[in-house]
Amino acid sequence: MKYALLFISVLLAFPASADPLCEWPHWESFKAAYIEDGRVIDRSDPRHITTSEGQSYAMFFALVANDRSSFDQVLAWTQRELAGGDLAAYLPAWLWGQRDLAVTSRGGKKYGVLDNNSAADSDLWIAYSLIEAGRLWHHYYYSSLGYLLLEQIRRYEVVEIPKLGLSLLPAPMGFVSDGEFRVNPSYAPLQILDRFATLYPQKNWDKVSASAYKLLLQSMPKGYSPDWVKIPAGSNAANWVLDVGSYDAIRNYLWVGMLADSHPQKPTLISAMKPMADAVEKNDGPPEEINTSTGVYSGTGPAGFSAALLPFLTQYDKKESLIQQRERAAGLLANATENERYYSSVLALFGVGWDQNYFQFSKDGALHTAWQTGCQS
Amino acid sequence: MSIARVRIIDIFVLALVMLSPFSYGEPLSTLVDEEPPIIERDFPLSDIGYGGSIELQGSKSDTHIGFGSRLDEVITGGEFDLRFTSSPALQAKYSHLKVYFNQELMKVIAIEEGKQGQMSGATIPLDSRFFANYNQVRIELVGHLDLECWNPDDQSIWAEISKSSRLRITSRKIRLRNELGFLPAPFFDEREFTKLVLPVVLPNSPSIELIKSAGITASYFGALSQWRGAEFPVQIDAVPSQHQHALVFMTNDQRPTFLKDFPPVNKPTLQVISHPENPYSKLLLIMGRDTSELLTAVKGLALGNSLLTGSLAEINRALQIKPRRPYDAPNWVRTDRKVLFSELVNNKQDLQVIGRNASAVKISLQLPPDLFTWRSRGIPMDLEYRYSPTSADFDGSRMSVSINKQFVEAFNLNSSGVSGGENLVRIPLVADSLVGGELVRIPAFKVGSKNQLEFQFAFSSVSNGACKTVPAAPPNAVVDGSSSLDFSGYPHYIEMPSLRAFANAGFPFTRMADLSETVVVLPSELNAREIETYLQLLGFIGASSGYPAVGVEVVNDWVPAQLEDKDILAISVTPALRTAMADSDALPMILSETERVISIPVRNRQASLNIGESGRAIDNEVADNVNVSATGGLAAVVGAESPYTPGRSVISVMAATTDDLAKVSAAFNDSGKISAMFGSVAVFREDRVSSYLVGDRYHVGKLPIWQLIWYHFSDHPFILLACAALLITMLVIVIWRILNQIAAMRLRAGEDE
Repeated sequence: MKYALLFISVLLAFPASADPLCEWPHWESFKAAYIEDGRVIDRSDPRHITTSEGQSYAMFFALVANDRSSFDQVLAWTQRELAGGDLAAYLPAWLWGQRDLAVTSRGGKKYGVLDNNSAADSDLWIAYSLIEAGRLWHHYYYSSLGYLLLEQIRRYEVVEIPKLGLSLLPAPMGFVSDGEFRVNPSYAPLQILDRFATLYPQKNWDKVSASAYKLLLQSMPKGYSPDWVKIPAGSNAANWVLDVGSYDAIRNYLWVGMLADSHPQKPTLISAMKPMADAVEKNDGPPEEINTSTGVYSGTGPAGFSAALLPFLTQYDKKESLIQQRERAAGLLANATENERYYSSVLALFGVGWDQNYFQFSKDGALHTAWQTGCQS
Repeated sequence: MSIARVRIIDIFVLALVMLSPFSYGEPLSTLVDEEPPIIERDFPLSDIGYGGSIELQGSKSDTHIGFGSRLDEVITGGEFDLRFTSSPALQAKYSHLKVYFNQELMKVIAIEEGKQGQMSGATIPLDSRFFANYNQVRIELVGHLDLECWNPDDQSIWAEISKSSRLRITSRKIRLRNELGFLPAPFFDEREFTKLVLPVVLPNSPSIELIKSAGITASYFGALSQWRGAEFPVQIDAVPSQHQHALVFMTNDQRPTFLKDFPPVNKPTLQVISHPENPYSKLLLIMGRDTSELLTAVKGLALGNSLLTGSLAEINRALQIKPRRPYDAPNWVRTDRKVLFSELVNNKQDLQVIGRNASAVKISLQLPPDLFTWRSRGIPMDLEYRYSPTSADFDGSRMSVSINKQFVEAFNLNSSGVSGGENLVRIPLVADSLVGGELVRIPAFKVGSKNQLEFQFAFSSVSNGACKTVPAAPPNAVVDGSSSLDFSGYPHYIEMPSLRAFANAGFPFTRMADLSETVVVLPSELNAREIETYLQLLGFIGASSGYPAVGVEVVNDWVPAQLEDKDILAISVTPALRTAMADSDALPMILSETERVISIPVRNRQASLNIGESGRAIDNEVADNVNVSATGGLAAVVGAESPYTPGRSVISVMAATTDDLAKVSAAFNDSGKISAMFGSVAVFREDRVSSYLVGDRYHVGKLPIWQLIWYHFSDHPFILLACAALLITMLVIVIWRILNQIAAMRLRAGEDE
């Protein structure tokens, strides 16, 4: 009895961390299915790869779930295996997995970094997760590591693109040639860039955010966002070469959908993206591939697409469509034990997690988690 | 089609894009620094500690030239530019030099006919595969004389390696991890044998407590740098040069602009980060929420660096559990008990030599400068040594002991191979007679407190005249590590002011190795140059004591209460000093922007090597006092007694303009200038130092009463004689009276009976 009272008083004293309501079941099942020893495994690839993207999303979800030990594990693995032991000195390599046998026979390890280049979106998400973890968990090491990683991103992955401005490149190497740039709008979520601009006003993140907004808006002439955009030397938006809109671009609707309602650019983006919401309604599901120049779409994307679009669809008056996609996403999460759908699962954690109010972004991009306020979701 | 499949394709596309060199393969201009910087070093041997040419005497004699490779570099190639002169007697066909690099023969240089006796040169490429952390170039002389009968040890078989020989090393920078476990590298790399240059970044108008933290750190790095010398260029609120590792001191409120938005810390914190513009250079951030936490962080670095690993360490506590005791500086010879030779060398190998004409076994000692050895019989040395037995007793083989190149005693080497029974030597304290009756006081040894004992083994040649064979192996000799010197039992007493004691050992501040009885006074308005001088001096003091100055106090205003019972190091606080010490006898030099006043002694005793610094009392009396107004560079270091506490010292560094302080900083990294500093005033003009002993003298330390009397009256025998006569007269009177009374008592007793 005495112990029970003690337990209750502890619960009252720490409502945020000890409240069982704070548990995020989808994260728990994702963890069980995809994370081993701090490593997010994408088994859909025969090499059982791990990407810095998977690691960055896992860190973000662990923070949302207030799961500090997982956060630490994932961070430790990322630092050790992808960043040469130090995220403050090296950008993480984007691809890790089983090496081909030819390499192994030459005495290399069986597993290791497959490509040393890094992926700017993952770098941003890792930096953001570290910086927000430092703030929410009052942990200096996370804050400083995030800051230093961000300094590297600024140094190696941010470049001035003529007529666009200071922009995020997809990686330090391989995306610029003879003044031609290749960029990916989904790599630069506005809430993250705005957060950095608020925290580090001297570091020009406001400019990066402005150019990301410009790129996003000007790369969807028909209201559909492309995966990749090729910017020929000195060209205006009219001459940009737009890729199809598919697995990468689906995240653009997700990021825009999750912007705070008070975000100044949200209304413009939402109205510009309305054709996508209409297409989901007409197609009875998210199109899988869209020709972003003509607006012709085909196929139906996987359930992960539906989950990713939940925050986006709530912005429109399309109740039926929203309910339909919610059901589709729920079906995906019900089969959580299946562990070969890495990408759909992470989209679902973002879309459904936001939809169920496990986390929100404020106007300046600060993270609000359910556990901070006692989980009244 | 599953999502996963498509995802793979997506990945492959990305990978292809990255690999294709024609479409997207060109690196960005911002990434040029990804190419590791190449560093070319070219230095003469004189830069790595070879003050003169290196002699090779006898065939098969050799010499080693050592140099290290830094932790943050990989050596990709090197060259040794050898310049040498060989003996004119060498026969060309058979004589040559063999040059080894890390035990691998690199090149053979033949002595050419007609080139003997002239300076010759050769370039030896050093194979990059053989580079290690510590590297060694070994040069061996194989000499042959053009005689039917000759001896490999013949005096005419020699070669001299010029100190202008050069080493050229090309290396590539490594991108180090941000790891405290490497500390003190890369900020100080013990494998580098050149002067440490470590930039220090401070926030704008740094508080005095922050400056104190920087000073303690400077003394810590000074202690690490040892004989290399250390320099701490100060940058206020600037991004440090991207080609050097640097230290950054900051609190949550006081920060350099380029780290303004760095996350604030919650604890005393040490962190290594990459330079914002060059990942090959590292910054050590020393941080705390406030200056007291900053101090804890500094102490954590100075005292606990072996515990630090990872990129970040939070210092929970850094305390000195046991207070330091006087004279316990790690670099100084122990004076509380006998000290073994094995404690005085880094490596037991240093006590051993091989060869018929091997170089001497050398032992360096740093003594407390105030060790009072006046009229003692010499420092007892218990000496044991072993050697390859000679072929016959008394064949002329000898071992000579000398101190600071001054001969002490020699012993015959014989066929027993061990030192005999007569092995208790007393190292003389530069005997009185040597300096013509002049009283020799302190320091006992010739060059202040850095002394070198040498044991030279010389084995006589075995093949004279007729062609006798040479013994198969060269003789070995070793001075036993259990040999000892005993400095215990000597009192500490020194006549001050003594800038020599300061310049050689940081005395009197280093008496407490942690500087716990020292207060540094800085001007209230500090500029970078003044801070630099302060860091430089603390670094120098750290190098003398071998211990970080964790107990030092630093103030920026002249408050007498804070200065009582402390030794004072004053930098650029001339006006306050002048007010406190108005008498020109007390403060013999004043230097400010507007005015220069100096007192000149009756006769300036030169710093003769054999003479202690104190002349006869009259010599240092102020004879002239000159007051000049002039422009042009001038700086001075002045020693005097503290105006607040007798027996305490003030060392004041002053300069006509703050830029002239650099002359003082430079002098403390220049052994030539250090040895030219003595007395109470050292004046630095252009590239010259002149020292004077002028003004009041005082004594620091304690002597037993009898020694005190003898010492102070030894200059004045007649006073002593007069005192003795007076004492005897008084005694006689007393005894006479007593005897008189006794006699009177007896008489009275006789009358009573």
